[in-house]
Amino acid sequence: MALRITRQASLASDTAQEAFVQIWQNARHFDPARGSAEAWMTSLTRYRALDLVRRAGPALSPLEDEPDLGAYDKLDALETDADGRALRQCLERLEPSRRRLVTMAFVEGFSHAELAAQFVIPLGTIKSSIRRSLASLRECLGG
Amino acid sequence: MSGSLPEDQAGLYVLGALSAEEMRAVRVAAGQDPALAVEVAAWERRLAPLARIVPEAALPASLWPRLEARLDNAGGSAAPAEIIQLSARQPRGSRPLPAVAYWRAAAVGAMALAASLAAVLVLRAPPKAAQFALVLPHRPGESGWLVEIGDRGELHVRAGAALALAADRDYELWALAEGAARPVPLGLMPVAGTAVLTADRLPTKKYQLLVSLEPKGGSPTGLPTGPVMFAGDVVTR
Repeated sequence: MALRITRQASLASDTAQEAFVQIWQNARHFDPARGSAEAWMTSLTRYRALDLVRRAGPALSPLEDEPDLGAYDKLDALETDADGRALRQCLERLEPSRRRLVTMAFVEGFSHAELAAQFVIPLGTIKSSIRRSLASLRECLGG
Repeated sequence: MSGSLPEDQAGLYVLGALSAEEMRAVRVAAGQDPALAVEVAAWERRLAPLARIVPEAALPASLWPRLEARLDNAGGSAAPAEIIQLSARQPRGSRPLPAVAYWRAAAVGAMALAASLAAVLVLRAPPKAAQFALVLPHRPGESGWLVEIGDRGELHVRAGAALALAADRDYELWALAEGAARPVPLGLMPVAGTAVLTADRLPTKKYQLLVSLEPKGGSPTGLPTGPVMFAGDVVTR
């Protein structure tokens, strides 16, 4: 995950270590009432990666093995529990290109601006599309 | 919701679509606005399953010494000295991975370890037996047991911290062999400290350990009567 977002092995290693250390130090403060451990650890790892990559600026080398765009349509991996199944169902209600923007933002850590550049779509269009997708996900998932 | 931020900023923050400045603004605002913090946590919960799209991979063994060094330096009084290595996650035959696969594995491993890290914090020592299991709650967060299987098939059980249990209940341990329809009872689990359970009926093939919530004294039927609240695979070091 950290590598996906940072797209540089050295940054990913820093991220993974940072995340481990933070998880280690904070695990006793983890409150299951606020969410699952998976959500907590996923978030922690992602925020570290996003901080690093945003700090490093836009001039990042591409992934050595370019991500296969089709991978963002394969949501089978979500099926391992009820939360994942619910998310998949709600994602599949989105129009495919909008769904892909959401999954790519999450998995790759692309900002609005990076998504706009990647797909050659105006920034405003990307922003409103993601905004609508999130609103639809929130309504579909509740909670 | 914070007055100074657009309404869906929590979702965009968790999604990772914001710029560095916007991310910082959300973080600062969430520190002052409990409603926004709750909103962020809700989005983390909603979107977390998406991380599963990145394929799970094994953590290379060479990561551990470096992490241990980091943790020793960073942990201060809170850090226990040792990390349990998850044998089950080690790559088969431990082939050296190419650099990219290596770091993808390491980063993804951070999530694969969700369950184990929580357990490590309370169990504080690596297992010594050849076969062991971390028996953890379905949604890991706090505590469980380390179960080590001794040479004579006896089970050395160590409880993690703060296992809650009502006075009229017991936790009962079961072994469920692969493909078996029914688990076999192995005994009652301690909620604190250690215990040795003598099991004469351990499965001969691959099995899982389960812990169910039972009436005081254990299940009267020989099968679990309450919910299975903890589980763990038996792994061989």
